[in-house]
Amino acid sequence: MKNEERIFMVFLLLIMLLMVFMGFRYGAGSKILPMASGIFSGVIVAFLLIMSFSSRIRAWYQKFEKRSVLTESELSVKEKKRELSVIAWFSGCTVAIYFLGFLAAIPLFLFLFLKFWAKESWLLSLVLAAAVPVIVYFTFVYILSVPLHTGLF
Amino acid sequence: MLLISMLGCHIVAAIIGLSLADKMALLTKVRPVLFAPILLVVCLIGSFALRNSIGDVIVTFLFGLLGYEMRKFGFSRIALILGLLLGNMAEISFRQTLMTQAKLLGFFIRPISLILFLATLASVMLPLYQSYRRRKINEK
Repeated sequence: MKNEERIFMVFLLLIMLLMVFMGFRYGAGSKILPMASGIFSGVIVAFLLIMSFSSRIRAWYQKFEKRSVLTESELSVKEKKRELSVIAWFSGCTVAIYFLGFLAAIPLFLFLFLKFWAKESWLLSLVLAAAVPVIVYFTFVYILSVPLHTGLF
Repeated sequence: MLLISMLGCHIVAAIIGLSLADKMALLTKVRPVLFAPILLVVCLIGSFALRNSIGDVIVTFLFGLLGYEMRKFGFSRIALILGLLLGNMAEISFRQTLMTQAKLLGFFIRPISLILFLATLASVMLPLYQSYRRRKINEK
């Protein structure tokens, strides 16, 4: 999992750098806290990143810390595929909500996910896909008077 | 009147909570594969309902993804949540201190903030020092 972990650390480091960079646009007093926290967290993440590459620095640091610095468990190829497919399905659900609205996207997502990803029976998939939007509509629109997003079309 | 209504509210909440607790516990027996998509949908609707903003839905999803990756790689999600919740208050108090005290020195010359600063420093350094000492003793 080392490479994945490094990519995640680089991503975190970029967020910290962005925070510091955006801090420059603030006034003299206002920029102190975002810049200080950005630099401090950035240094820690950079240190972790360096440790993931250098076994010597890692060995030195492990004198102070019992837990392993890097994640030791490795996901199998099958587990990784499963993880990625779930993320893709959930991303699809969010995109569908954006374009189609909640009341169209929810039954569509639930039915497709349960039938084709979870391999559930037709009956269970259809019942859940029909029941959840009804409950959502009744709870949010009818009782709580929250207007749901109706999509772009 | 307000106190009585709050008291009544707590009593009603306790009665409902106690009478439904065993039934609600059955939710833990639902298979995750059925529970997860429904939970996702409810979370996304909840985030939308707060400000009627579809942007919040996207932010919720992205933070969910970030939380999952943080958990996978052993980063503390609690620290992130605390930072997000307390960050605003910290920033306001920090600005107030800068305006009322002599710049950053205000944090170190006032007794309460100095004690809090030293306590924070000790809570960070002490576990590291103890771990180092223990390892040294074990090596001997």
